[in-house]
Amino acid sequence: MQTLAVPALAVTRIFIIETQVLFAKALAQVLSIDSSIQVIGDASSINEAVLKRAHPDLLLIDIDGKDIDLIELIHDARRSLPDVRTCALSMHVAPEVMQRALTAGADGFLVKDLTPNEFLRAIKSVASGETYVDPRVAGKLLRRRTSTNSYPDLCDLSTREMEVVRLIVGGLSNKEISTKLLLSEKTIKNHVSRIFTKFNCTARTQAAVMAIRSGLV
Amino acid sequence: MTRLSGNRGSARAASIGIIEPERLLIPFLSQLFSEAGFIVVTSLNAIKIDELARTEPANVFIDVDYLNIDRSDEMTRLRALLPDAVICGYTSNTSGSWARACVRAGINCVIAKAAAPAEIIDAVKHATRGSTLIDPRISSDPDVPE
Repeated sequence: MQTLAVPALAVTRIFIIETQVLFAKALAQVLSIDSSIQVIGDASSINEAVLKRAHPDLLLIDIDGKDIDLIELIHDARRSLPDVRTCALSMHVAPEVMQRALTAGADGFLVKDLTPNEFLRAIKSVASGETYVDPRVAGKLLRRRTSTNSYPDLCDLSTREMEVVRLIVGGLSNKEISTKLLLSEKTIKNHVSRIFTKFNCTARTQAAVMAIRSGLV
Repeated sequence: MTRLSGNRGSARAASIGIIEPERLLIPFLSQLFSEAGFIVVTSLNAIKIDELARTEPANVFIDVDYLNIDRSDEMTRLRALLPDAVICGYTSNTSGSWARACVRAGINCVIAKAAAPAEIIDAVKHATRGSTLIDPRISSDPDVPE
């Protein structure tokens, strides 16, 4: 009797970079729903040797880790595994975060409030070679682009700097901002100084006007 | 204490409400708490404190990272709505001052997102016994704001 050869179903091998143990497990649980996906491991940071040994098809990176520089992280992943698809995952529905991730080399940008089904669709889309970005974030970016041309690029600001500049627009002093954000006044001064440098301005009012005209507020 | 029994009072004591805007986490958290003997009475993917309070859970597990800039006010409101509930906050913020602000606002237990599932259950169960807890990963750096 002749046995028919059944073509093996292509399986996407995914490696998760996630500093939160619980979230890594939750992601693996959701991904395991789909039989065409296999989670081959997870780690809290990029380790070139481990990744090369694991040989994933797709790297899923949570970019919200506080001590991690997002661009550096994705660059490292790209350098270690240039042919592997890379997907960034963030809690921020923020165009500037998405743009930084894509500039750093990510093939996809997903927001953590996706439903499991949406998440699986997005992951499979990136794995198949497409670029996926959260439509809400893309829409925000497009709206901002059409209304701004000659104002500073907000992608240069970190998440914390954006939080600070929003409070500057609200008229808060450094001391008040430090109380609001539960940070020291010195830390706030440093953030404000970096915002001035990035906006190429010297006064809070100037920074506030630029932030408003850039569509941040 | 948090184990199920035929006693209605015990079942009430085991009830837990979850607020977690990271929807991908909700099925996992629900399963985690169920397996640990809690009854998940509601799991919300948005900061809907009133909706949560209406279910009158004895315990609350809330991702405090998603509370807005006046987040301590929202915590205070949650405490006012559920004066007797054990409220556990889950955060990626490693600032000791932030954790202490959570406690001042009425949170019984602040758990770092770096915690493993078993540690989370241990912390929540510990809090149900009346302790106020801050995850050592957070409180060890009280002077480091970020």
